[in-house]
Amino acid sequence: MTIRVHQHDRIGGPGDGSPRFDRQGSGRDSEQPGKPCHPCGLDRHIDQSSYTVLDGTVKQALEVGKTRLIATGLVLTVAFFAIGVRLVDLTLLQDSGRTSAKHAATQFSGDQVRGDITDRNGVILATSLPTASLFADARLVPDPELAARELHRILPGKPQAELFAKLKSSKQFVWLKRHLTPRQQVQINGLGIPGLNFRREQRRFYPHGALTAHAVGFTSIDNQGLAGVEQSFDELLTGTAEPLQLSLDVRIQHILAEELSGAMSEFRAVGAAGMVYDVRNGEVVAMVSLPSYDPNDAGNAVDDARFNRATLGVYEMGSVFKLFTTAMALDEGVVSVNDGYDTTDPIRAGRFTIRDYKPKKRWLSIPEILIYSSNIGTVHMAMEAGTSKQKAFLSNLGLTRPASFELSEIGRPRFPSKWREINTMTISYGHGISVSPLQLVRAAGALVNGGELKSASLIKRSPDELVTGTRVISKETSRQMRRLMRLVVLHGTGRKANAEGFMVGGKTGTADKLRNGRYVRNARMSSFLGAFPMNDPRYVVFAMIDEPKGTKETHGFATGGWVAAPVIKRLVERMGPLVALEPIDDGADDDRIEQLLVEVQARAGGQSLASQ
Amino acid sequence: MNKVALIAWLTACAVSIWFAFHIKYKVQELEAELGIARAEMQQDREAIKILEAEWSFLNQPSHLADLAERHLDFAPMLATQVVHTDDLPERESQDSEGLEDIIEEILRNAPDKSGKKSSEKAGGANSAPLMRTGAAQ
Repeated sequence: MTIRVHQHDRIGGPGDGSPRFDRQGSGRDSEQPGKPCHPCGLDRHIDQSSYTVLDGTVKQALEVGKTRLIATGLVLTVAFFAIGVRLVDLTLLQDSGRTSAKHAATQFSGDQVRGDITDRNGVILATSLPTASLFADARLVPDPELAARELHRILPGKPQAELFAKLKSSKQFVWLKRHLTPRQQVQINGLGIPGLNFRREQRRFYPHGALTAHAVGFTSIDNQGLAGVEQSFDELLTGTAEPLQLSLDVRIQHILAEELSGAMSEFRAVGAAGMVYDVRNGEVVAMVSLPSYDPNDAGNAVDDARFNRATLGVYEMGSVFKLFTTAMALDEGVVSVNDGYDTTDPIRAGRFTIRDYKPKKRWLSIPEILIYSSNIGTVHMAMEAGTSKQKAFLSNLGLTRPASFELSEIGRPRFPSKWREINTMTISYGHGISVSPLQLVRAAGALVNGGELKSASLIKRSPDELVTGTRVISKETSRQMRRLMRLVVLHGTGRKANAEGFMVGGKTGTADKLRNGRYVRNARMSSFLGAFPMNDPRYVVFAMIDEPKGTKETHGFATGGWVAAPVIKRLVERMGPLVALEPIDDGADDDRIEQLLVEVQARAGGQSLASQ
Repeated sequence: MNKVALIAWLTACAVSIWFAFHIKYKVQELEAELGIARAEMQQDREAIKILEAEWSFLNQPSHLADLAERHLDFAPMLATQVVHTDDLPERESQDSEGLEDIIEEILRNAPDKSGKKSSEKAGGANSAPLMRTGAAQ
């Protein structure tokens, strides 16, 4: 550490023993030749006289060196200090437990488990289960033939030739079988064939199978939603592990499906559809389309079973449309409940003749027109209101455009592009316009819930969520419609839907089916559109049977009143207690409603006399 | 003096090295433990998923209806079985006194089991429909 300075270099002044270099650059007179230089004060004990005085360039160089050293030291100190602070901060001050937990959480969600789908009560409708899938690195399989033979023994579903071809392909990655059973996995593992590997995968499983197939839908083998909610909420389901809660109630769904399939087999029908719709918030509580399919084996389902009759199918609904015509006429002030029409003569329009199914051949009041389901009376009502009003009204009820719903299987309603007078006539009793059951229950909900059309939903809405709708009819019209619907069940075609204690109201419908533009006599669509309890409606219920055939018990009839109304009765009787509806003694309310009919008929006495 | 400082520094160095390795091994140990715990959690989670799916499968309404039909004496409740409290007939005055006595007795020895039994017996006939109402909720 000493710097020797040669004699001739020495130009500095006298060493004063301090580590400091002499800044005064003191004179040559103190020069002490022959003494070694001991800078930096490392050897203070040595006689001060031995110090060398530096001067000039050397001194400058040393000074520069020293400042650099100090600067570097400072930088390093700061850096180490910062590292130290950060260390203390990381180890002692930060909540290390939380960060690691967060880390763990992200790790798990990175696993990409597809979220569950549950019903409104949390019953699992679709879930993802871990499975193993078998793949091969074909280059590593030593004896493809032996391997194919052994695998075929364990996987009888796979032809040996196919396995052999795959194993011989010398591809780096080839699927042999997706979603093995645990037993198969153990057996294949036991074979010990090199090149065979398992990959953990998720497989969609639907515990309730066909019961909710059309609402829930299904996924591809790679867990991509292909139908139903699985498709429309594909992104959401892949994104989170949170369950998606539907508005469906599995219990009510089961009751509806059971009653509909009972009616289907009783009347040898080709299909059926039904819905239960909450009129307060637009939730679809049950939605059934029969025949159904098992979503666990969706690949093998036939197209007819996969077809969702409740939302995708559009049908001419027949007489249930008379409810809308009546509501329109009442709301527009075209008629009042006390009015009526003479239905003696059939209506001729061009080449059509509109008759009644069971002609009364007399003056009928508005309630009676609905009770006896008179086509003639309804046509008179619609004609008095006019085509434009009818079109506007049906459009307000959402019957002329596809319903907005959380499914992609939504049917587009069919109606004449040019709405002529004859169309007004037929549409008034539900012919010449095809709508889906979903549109129908939504519109019917607006008729009975006080006049507000709500948006239908397949996703559960929170009980305190206030679902506002658009007003389509006045509260008073809605009240009148409720009474008229109840009268239909008390006295009219819907008598078989009268579930005691639950005040069912509604309207039957029977429509001949269209085939190649012609109506077919013996192929019809029998339906019932109702609501309950009529004093304060909670649910709209709808049942539709496709091509029922009359039986001995029904005297050969296969109309809505004989086929669909009993389904509604049993449905309401069974679901009423489940949804905690207190059965009401319908006597008092019914008396009040019947009073309406009595009054109307009393007044009608004069009217019918006048018309004769 | 220098030697003391040197020894002190070397000791500090040795201690810190030992401490660093000690921590390192501890962390490794804990990480292994954590890995095992995570794997176990994952396994349990999967097991729970499978069991939940199975539970849902076993709770198919049609399956439950079938079981209920085979093993229970219950039938779907009818609207006529539900009676509102206001619709219950008034008790004869004599009977109502008896009822009050019983209520008093129950209140007196509330935790006593015999009291409970007598209440069930006494209330049996009339409270049955009410209880059904409760079950329907």
